Amino acid sequence: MYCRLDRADAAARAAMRLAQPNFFLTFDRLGIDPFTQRFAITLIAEGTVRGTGGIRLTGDDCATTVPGLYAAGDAATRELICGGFTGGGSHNAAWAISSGGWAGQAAARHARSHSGGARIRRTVPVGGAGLRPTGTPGPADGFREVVAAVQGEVLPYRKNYLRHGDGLAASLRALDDTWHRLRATLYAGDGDAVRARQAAAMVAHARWMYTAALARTETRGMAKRLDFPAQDPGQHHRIVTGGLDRVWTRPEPLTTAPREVA
Amino acid sequence: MIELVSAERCIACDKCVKVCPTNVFDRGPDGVPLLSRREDCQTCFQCEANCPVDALFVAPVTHPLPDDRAVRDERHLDRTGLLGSYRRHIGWGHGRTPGALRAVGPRLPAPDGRPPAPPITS
Repeated sequence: MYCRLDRADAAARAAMRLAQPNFFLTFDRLGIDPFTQRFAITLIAEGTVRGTGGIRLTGDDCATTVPGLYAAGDAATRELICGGFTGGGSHNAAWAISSGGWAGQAAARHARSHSGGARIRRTVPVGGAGLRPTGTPGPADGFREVVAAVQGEVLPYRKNYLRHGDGLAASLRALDDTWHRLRATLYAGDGDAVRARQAAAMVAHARWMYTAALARTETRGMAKRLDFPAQDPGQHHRIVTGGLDRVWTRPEPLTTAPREVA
Repeated sequence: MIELVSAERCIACDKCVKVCPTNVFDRGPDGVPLLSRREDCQTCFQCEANCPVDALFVAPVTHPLPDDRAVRDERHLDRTGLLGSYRRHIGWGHGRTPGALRAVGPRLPAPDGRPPAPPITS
């Protein structure tokens, strides 16, 4: 599919260049004038960057359900500012800056609240997946296989964009297998500990994503189901998900939901 | 994807090493960053935007290009104005006007209450 921005007049062209230098960067480097020349377009999965949802916030200071952990930006849920749809660049940028400020202040306050200082606390390592396998550790580059397995279930449009209950369930079975395998074997040693942990987090995230998608048997906002194309007024709520070895979901009522009109 | 790290221009400030969200670089023995995990590059251009001496070039494609391509030819990139062009466009760097100040954003409603023109944004 090809595109050309041929309806922008001279003033709009100049304004667009000033407002979105990032957009024109690619065209300038490829030697394409997007206002006069056709360019190929495609869909690309940006994960949660242009999505909604994220780590659940429990307070105005961006606190989470984990004491001392504060979430900001794309990692934190943006449902609070834009509901079931992405906010786009402006909302998301404003959210990144403001939530980062609030979360940072709260984290500093939390660190200061420890008598004797946060640095001299006794800490206990608790991370499991990717760090402390329950069985015989696999190869040090096992994270590559894990990442490829997640990508195989979340990148194809027919699985993640054209969502259907059957496909979601099949992907979830594959991801569950990957999770249980990595729990037993994924270990990368000190050098690539972060990459192994990231790979484990991708699997956990994908399982939360598809479990929540299966729990929403309707189409609402960015959550679309081919097998449930209509919006169901009975599901006007958020879905909270979590869990590692066993993933769970539960509906969370909206505190600001408009009253039902008879 | 990151294509060029100019050892000649690099001042070993480590900014790219620190700013890369996917940890592509390691500081080399002489301070010049090494592309240790190039396949993790997401083509976000952050390293290039933060390089104070325009020593980096990110090609606008998400896969590595063949070795003989012009994107690794520093003199060609310099001559054609491509090297450092992102920083120039966003107005980052000493003596420049930040792009955020020049951007056309949403206008406030007029005093007579007429709605403003829709903003050009994404």
